Amino acid sequence: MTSRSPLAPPITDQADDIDRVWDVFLYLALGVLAFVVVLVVYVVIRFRRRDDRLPQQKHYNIPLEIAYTVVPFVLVVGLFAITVVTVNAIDDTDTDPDLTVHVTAFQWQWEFEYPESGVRIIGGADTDAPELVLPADSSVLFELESLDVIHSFWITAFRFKRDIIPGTVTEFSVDMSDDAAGEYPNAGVCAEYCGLDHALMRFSVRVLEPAEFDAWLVEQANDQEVAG
Amino acid sequence: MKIEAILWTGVAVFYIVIGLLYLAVGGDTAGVVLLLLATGLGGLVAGWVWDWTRRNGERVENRADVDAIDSTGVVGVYPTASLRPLALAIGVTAMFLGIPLGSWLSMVGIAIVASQVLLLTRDTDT
Amino acid sequence: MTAVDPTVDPDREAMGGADPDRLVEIDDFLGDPDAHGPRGLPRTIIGWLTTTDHKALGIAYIVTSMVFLGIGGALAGVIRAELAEPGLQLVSVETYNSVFTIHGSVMVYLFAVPFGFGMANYLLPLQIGAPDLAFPRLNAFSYWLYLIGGAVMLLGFVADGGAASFGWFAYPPLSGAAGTPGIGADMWIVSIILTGTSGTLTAVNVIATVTMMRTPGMTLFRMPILTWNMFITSFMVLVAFPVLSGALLMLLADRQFGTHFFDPVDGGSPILWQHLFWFFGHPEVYIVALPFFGVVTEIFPVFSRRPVFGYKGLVLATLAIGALSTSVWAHHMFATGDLVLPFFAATSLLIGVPTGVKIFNWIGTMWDGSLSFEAPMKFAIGFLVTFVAGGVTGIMLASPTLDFHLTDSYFVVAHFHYVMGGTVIFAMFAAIYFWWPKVTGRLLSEKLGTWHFWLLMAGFNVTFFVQHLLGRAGMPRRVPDYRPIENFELWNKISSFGFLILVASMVPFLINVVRSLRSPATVGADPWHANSLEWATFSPPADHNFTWLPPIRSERPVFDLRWINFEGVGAPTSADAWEARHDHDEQWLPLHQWSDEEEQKRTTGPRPIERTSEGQSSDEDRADGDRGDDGEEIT
Repeated sequence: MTSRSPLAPPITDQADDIDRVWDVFLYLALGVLAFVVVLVVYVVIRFRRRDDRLPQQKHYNIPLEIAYTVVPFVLVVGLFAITVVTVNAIDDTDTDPDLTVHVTAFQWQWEFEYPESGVRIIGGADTDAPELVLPADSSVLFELESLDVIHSFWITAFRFKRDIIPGTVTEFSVDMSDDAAGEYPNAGVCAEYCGLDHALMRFSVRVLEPAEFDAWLVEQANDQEVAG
Repeated sequence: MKIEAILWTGVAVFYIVIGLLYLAVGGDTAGVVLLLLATGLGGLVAGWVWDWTRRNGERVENRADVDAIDSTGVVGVYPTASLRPLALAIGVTAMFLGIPLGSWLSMVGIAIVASQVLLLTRDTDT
Repeated sequence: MTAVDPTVDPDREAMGGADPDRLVEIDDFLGDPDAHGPRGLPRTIIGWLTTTDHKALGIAYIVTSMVFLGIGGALAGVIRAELAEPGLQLVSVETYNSVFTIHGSVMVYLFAVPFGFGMANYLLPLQIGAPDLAFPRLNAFSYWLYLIGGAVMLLGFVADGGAASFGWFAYPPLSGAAGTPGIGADMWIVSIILTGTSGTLTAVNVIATVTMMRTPGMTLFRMPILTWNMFITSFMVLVAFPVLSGALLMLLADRQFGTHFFDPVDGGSPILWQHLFWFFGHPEVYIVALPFFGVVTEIFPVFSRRPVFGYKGLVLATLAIGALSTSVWAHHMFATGDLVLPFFAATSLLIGVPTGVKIFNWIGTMWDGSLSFEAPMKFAIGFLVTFVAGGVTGIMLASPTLDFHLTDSYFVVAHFHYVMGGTVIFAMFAAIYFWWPKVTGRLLSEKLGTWHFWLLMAGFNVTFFVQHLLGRAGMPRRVPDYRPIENFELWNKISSFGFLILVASMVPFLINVVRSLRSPATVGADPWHANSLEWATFSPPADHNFTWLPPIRSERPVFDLRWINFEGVGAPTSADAWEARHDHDEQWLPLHQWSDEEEQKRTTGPRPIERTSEGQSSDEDRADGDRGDDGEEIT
């Protein structure tokens, strides 16, 4: 993707992995598409009707048929191997994270809670999109909970989403990259259609250096104590 | 009918294999049950076709060297035009629509379906 | 003479300099098209309401599904108009949510699947030499259930609270009584139960017909691929549709009777719905697609003058797709995280293999052929390219690694519009241009067909290609509004512009249809020099289809007959058939002839359809008031 892309850059180690897998799949897909299109164009030009003769009536070619079954099969096995290796790494939940964030989704806003410090950020109907603040270079565990219907917690900069199913707490963890710090104003959305104002269930992501993050957390905790 | 029987047996075998595999890798209960039910569906048809073949032998239609001329006789009795299918469809719709819209509609639907099914069976008697 | 299975026949030499006079024309065998009683469709309203004829019902299915396509397309127009700019301009959010729900539901449940069933209705008995489907009244019942069920869904728009607005896969708890109150939602559920039941019944009908009503010599491995695909599709319908109907009844019970199948508050499981729904939903994708794969597999050989390449491999690939498609369902649920990911990744990737095989079968059919590019062939090639483009993104989505990012985004929207929208539309028009002469006895204009094709090709790709980019960049599906991020607006505008081209492409088609219907019906039995049995009867076919059948020695009986004077080209036919070519003025295999008396009886009671070896004598037999006691059984 070019720099003009609206897609936020990857900010977790997992997202870097996913982007590498994406490249493999993308180039393979484009290759297969190009191969078939070239083949079709060739056939269309080379074998167009020139006279009324009946062409050769060949029904089958067993070696060729085996070949075009085996080659895709081998490709698919390769893709499967890549998938399994990466997906296990992505799906592996870190039980001892640097930070836990408890996300509560409800129609049609988000609440982000930092249980260790009691800080809560709640999006309201009439406020701007809430901002999820995360530390760079740390592992973060997300616990996801829904108060009503199914939502999906999608941060495009993570290249990852996880559905939030009412009645259960789903979770996943990421390792924030060490160079992740920055503002990602369009990175978060609800991806599972959840009713009327589904489209407005957005949030922004801001990643701070670990020290700045700790300071921010303390500041928030103090603010909320005063307010509460 | 042998090929058909093999085909349907294959269906049953495929689903039992994939169902057990899914069970073994820790699949969800609903999925396992559905796959095993699909096994039953394949097995049901396979059983019927095997039995039919055992009782009636190979059909002439399945031989590779016959022509239409080799199987003369009645192919089937075809029904005439009939309003019953339409009436029946209206009845079934009313039956189900009655669930959200009010039980009176279901009653009307059941009456239509019952009368049409009755008439339908009488139709084919003659 | 012994039968020779053409699939194990040695390579045949190319025919050079064939003398056209020695080619057999099917019309010569058929004689006067109007000598066998009425042809064509019912002429009165009562006739349409009461018909049990598979051809009339097939046309009814196809016309009805095209009307639903128009309605679904209009709803798509609302979506693309709303998304052309960020913010809300055209409709309220409530309306928008109903619009995309009904757009998806109409296209999937009321257009794509029933169009396939319409083709099954019309073509399948013709392709296997049968006079009708096995259960004509059941067939009529299926059609009416579909039509009325579809109307119920659309009537939701006038219901209190509007039409259903929970998306076409209706995830609870959103689709529960609290999430989406209102009668429109219940009507949607009832509608899908009815149309699903209709589909199940049609599937039973198709399976019974294919199993029991093939004409002698039409072995399973001589059936046209379209018939094969319908057969396999029907099996998938039997596995999938009842699960959907059951799940919908549970959902209706949750809404109406206070049960808690899917309600997490009282111990129900929303995930259970997803398993049940997608156990239906993924086979559904192939239920939609397989009939259209069948269509192009009929078309490529005809316009390449070649047999289907790797017929048996193709059938096996289709069987593999049918089987695997019922074990991939949870790849729609990767993002729930509550799954055996590798199992579903493996099956989902694996299904790409038989699909790839099909693509090479099609190219192999054209390879070394003599290709001409009439409208059906153009659309079939358009189908091929579109399908590959949709297939490769399917492989990406089959990998959970990538699916975590891409699912529920516009990338998925683009993917399934390529594989379900594009392929269905292209193959559908291929089918319409191909079988139009058979159904109507008229030709469609090639010039308008060319315009239609290129406009559709351009419109389709402009509309949907950019949606890949939108999805990858982070635009979720099912939103009426998006933030005015760089490029989002541009890409959405391109997509909406493409939709206009798509709409414009329908203009030459409609003109073509109207002009053709106004012209006289003069086309013979076999205008394309095609292969399968439906071309061995009049255009439009006689009542109960055949007055005569050629010998069937391969999957191309009509081809074999056309080339019967050239030894070594088609499959060798039996001694009788060789005999027949010498005096084919005489009808050597009349299946049925009409007398006035019988014509009258036709309207008063059931009648047996017989195959006889001597034409005239059968009329007397039947005039003896044979009302079918001995005719109950289909032999």
